[in-house]
Parts: sequence; structure tokens; C-alpha cells
Amino acid sequence: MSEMRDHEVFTAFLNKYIGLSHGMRFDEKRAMWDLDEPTPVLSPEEVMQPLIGWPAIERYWGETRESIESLSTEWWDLHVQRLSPDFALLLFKQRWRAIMIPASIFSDKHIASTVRVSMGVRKLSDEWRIIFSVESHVDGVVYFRALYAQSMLTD
Amino acid sequence: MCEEYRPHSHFVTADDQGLKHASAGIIWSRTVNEAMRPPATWSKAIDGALELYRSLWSEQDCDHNLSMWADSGERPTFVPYDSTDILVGIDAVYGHLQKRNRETGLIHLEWSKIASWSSGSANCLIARQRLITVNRSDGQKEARTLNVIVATIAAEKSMRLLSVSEAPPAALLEMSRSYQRHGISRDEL
Repeated sequence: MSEMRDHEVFTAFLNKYIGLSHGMRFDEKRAMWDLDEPTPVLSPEEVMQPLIGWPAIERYWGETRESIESLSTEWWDLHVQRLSPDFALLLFKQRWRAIMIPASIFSDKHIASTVRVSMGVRKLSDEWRIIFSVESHVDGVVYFRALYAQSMLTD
Repeated sequence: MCEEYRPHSHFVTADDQGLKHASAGIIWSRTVNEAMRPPATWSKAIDGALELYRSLWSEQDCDHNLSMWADSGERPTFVPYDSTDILVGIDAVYGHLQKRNRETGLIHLEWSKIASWSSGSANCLIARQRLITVNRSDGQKEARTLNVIVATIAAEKSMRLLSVSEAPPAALLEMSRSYQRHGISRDEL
């Protein structure tokens, strides 16, 4: 498959997958994973430990549904890396925006963040399926150092 | 690119901060956290891939470091913990590593294996690593945990890095509170 064709195929794939975040349609998201993969890994940016296996992933999705009032997600800047004919790595940026249900925590304001996603996909028959997805943001120490530097400039 | 490389000492002198051991070299260990369910399929090839990742920190030699990566035609990628970008292409990747190695020295690195996959001669792994580094400018030590994804392909009978992603577990609450206080998002940094 050519690079251009790869980009087209995975753009459609991600449009569908990320689009399912709206309304938190996690059952449909799950269907886009390889359900026979023995070690599926999901690592959202806010968790301290990667979620390994379906019980952990589904518990997380359930808690997300219970704690978030609304969620919207957009993505861009896709880079496809073919490791083999049936295994690829998708790198892209993703921005999520949410309102939490416990308003006391976040003062009912939107919280939002942009992360870089590294997603492994495997080809099964003619369909691509996710085997892992890891979100990466800038390191906290680097972030706070930049905030400090910025506050020094404005004081 | 290589012509711009300037060798430098591995670590700053900061003996009073307990860094004496650092000057003797990198302390290197591998751990397996049973709770993380190390996969039975974790192979020598996957160990080799992780070793390549480790070498990014310790190999200061330009030619050697470059030779660890896939050819520029493969457009290797790097998602560093100390950046907000997805770096694409060997110039961008290596430029960032040069800058990091100039500013930061590795003291300690250990990992727990999480999962790995192989397909043909390609390998991909996720590992969780504990990293202690030192800022060369002020001698400050920093400890962090990163989830790391390493993907390798075979080239010229050896294993080459195609992609490395570093993902720090988030402190979402701190980030959000900081955003509310300062009105700055990470995107604006």
C-alpha cells in the first residue's frame, strides 16, 4: 500500500474512532480493537499506570462515563509508520475538551488538553484493529518550569 | 549535522548532592515488575530494542547514535517527554537528542516490561521506566516515570529504531489547577 493510500485509510479509521468519543460511545470504540489481543494496552494521559487487559480498560471507560458530563475530541497531524504489511504505528495529536460532573473540582469550566497519541494497529483480514493506544503530554516538570519562567517574565 | 556535534562530559560535578556515583558511569538495571504481567513472548529481539533505546541516553558519539536509527527514507519519529511535538525525520529526531544530551545527563534507568509485539522482522514494545537525570547546568536531579513505546525494524542485518514515544503519566489535577490560576494552556508554552 502506498504512503498516500495508508494516510487515506488511517485518516478514515481515526475519524471514525475519535468521532466515537462524542457521546462516549465506548462499546463502539471497543469494537475497533483487536478483541483477541491478549495484552491490549490503553494509557490515557491522566492515569498513573497503563491499563492492561479488557477488565481494566472497561472499568476506566465506565468511570469516565460516570465522571464526565460532556466530551469532545479532535485530532490532526497523522504520521503513519509501517512496521510490516500487517502492523502499523499511528502517531497523531489529539485535543480533548470535557466538563466534569463533580463541578466542585473544576468549577464547571471546560478542561482541555492536547496530547500526542501513539497507537499500534494490526491488520486482520481486511480490517485494521487497535492493539494499544498511549497518550503522551509534555512532562510535568518541564511544564512547570516553563510556567515559572513565564510568570517571572510577567511579574 | 554531525559536524555540529560537540562532545561533553557525561555529568556535571555535583558531589555535594550525592552524585559522586554518577561520574563513575551510568548505573543500569533492569527490573521486572510481576504485577505488570510481563509477557511470555518477551524475546531477545525485544530486549535488543530496549537496549537501543537505553543507548540513546548513554551514547554520545554522533556516528554511533545516528546508526541506531532507521534511514532517513524511513522517516523515523520521536515523541519526547520534554517537547510538545511529534518529531519526524532523522534531522529533527537527532537534533532533539543532541540538545537533550547537552542539557541532561542520565544517572539511573530501570524498567518494567509491559507488552511487546513482533511482526516479521519488526518489533514493538511498551515498557515503563523509572528515570533519574541531572541538569548539567545546575546539578539538579529529576526523577520521573515514563511509559515508553519503542518500534524497531531490521536494516542491513541489524536492528534500527523506527519510532520512540515517551509518555509521562499525567498530573491532571495539577495541570488543570495551574491552567485556572495562570490562564495558560500547555499548547501555549
